[in-house]
Amino acid sequence: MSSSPPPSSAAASPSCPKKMIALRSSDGETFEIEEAAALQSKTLENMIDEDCAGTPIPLPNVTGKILAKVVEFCSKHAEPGVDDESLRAWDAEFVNVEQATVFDYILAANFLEIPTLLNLTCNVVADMIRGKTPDEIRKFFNIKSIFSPEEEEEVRRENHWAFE
Amino acid sequence: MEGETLPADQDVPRDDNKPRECECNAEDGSLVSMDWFPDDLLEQILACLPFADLVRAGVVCTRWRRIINSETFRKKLLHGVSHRPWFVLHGFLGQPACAYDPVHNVWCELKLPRFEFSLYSSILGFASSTGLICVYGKSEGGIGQLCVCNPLTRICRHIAPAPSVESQLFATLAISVSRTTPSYRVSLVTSKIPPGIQVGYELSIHLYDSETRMWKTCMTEYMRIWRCCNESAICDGVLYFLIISPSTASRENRYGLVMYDLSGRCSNDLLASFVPVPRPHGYGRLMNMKEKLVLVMDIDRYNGVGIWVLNGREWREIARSPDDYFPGLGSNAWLRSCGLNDLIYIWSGDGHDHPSPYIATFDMNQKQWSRNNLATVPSQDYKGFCFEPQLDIVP
Repeated sequence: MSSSPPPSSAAASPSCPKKMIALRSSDGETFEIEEAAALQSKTLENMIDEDCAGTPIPLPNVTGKILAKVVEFCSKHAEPGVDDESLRAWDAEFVNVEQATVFDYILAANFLEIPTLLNLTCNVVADMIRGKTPDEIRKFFNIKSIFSPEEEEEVRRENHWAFE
Repeated sequence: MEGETLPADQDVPRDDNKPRECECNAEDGSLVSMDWFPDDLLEQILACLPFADLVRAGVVCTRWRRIINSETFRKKLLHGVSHRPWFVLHGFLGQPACAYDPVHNVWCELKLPRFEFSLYSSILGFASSTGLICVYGKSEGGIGQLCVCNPLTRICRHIAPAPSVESQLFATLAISVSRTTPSYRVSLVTSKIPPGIQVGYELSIHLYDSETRMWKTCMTEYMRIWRCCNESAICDGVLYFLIISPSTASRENRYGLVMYDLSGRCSNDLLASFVPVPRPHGYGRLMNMKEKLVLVMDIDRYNGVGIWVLNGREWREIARSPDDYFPGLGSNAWLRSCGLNDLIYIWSGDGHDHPSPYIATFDMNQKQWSRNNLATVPSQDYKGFCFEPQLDIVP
């Protein structure tokens, strides 16, 4: 989906109903996204309002690989006439990726302030936590417990049942 | 909003010797760390967790603990929770309890402190309110035991039983948790046959105050034809309970409601406060819904369930179940109900130990009925109760 946009691509001609926004990832790739899709991101919404007409919006915190997927997500969610159930199924497929990628999505969704993607990905991570004991959670996310000895004692006392 | 600067290229392999928190490995060997998540992001993830998992998450590491215990996080959580209390099907005497969380629409297993209740050979009374449950039972040796517990943190307090409680025949328990101070009150209404008396019952009202940590016997009265049964509730400082006249053959006014002002402000002549129940043959369930007394009762055996609110000394009907919810309750049917804040849960059975496959809920605020499948719940003990999960309430 990457291309070099001609200088005047962002200026919508009156006959062209779909205004395209250009985005540039941290590693220099450029993507085009319909305005309706871009407005899913509060960050982009603010930037568009500030009239960065013509120049691609730089997103130094998002790589091309992830930005491509984010654009795909936003475009899908801006599509008219998609029923709830198929959208949910599509979302489920979208996040059916390895953990690291889900984490990348979360960070991108957080930076770009895309509530739908953020909600979706947070739930995915929450699902990774659900049902696990504290020990299992630590192992899974490779968390080294860094309670101070006093804190550890206090936590154990308050929550002894959680350690069972 | 992203406040941290992230490395521009996340695909560069990190130095593997550096210990990191909250990492996971990508297939290509790069490391993505939850360490990079700002607090509000972690908060958002943790807020998706059902309550039971949240309590476990709070002991994972310092950072998670700090976030979960923070004021802002709790407020965010409880905002939804308090209007949608949990429904729990309990098996105190051996079986695990199943809790339904209406906010997440999920059933989970709740490990109630079985070891505490293992002393109980029978449960005589049960009550629940914001954050706490209260159980009154008898141990093998016939000694009365009373325990107040927070089912989530499993912190229990055994309360020395009220004086002369051990030999009680009929008892009903209610608990009222204060929203302003960390205190609660437990009321125990008992009816027993006094020694040497052939007819009638001695009714007593005992009150325990967690602030003074003492029991007080508020009153004792001999009643020729009435005794308490299993329903009581404390609303706005007034104790309400149902009384039954077991020998009334005509079944008119067989059940009635009486009230007792716990503050002792008004003169408390119990029978003077008598209010008949809306349906003379019916046995209802009492509950405190935002400090109003609500009664749930079958309208008649074949017509479903009604919900009434007490206004002064009169019942006002506020809802009736849809026709297909409780069809043909039948002669052996039983009805159970509990409620808290805005939600009332109702479930029933046909008396042959076949409970209906779903549980009905009524939202008092939105005046809406709905049904949820009990299909995932093991059909065992159908004594259920409602409670509002709270982590910081201590018995």
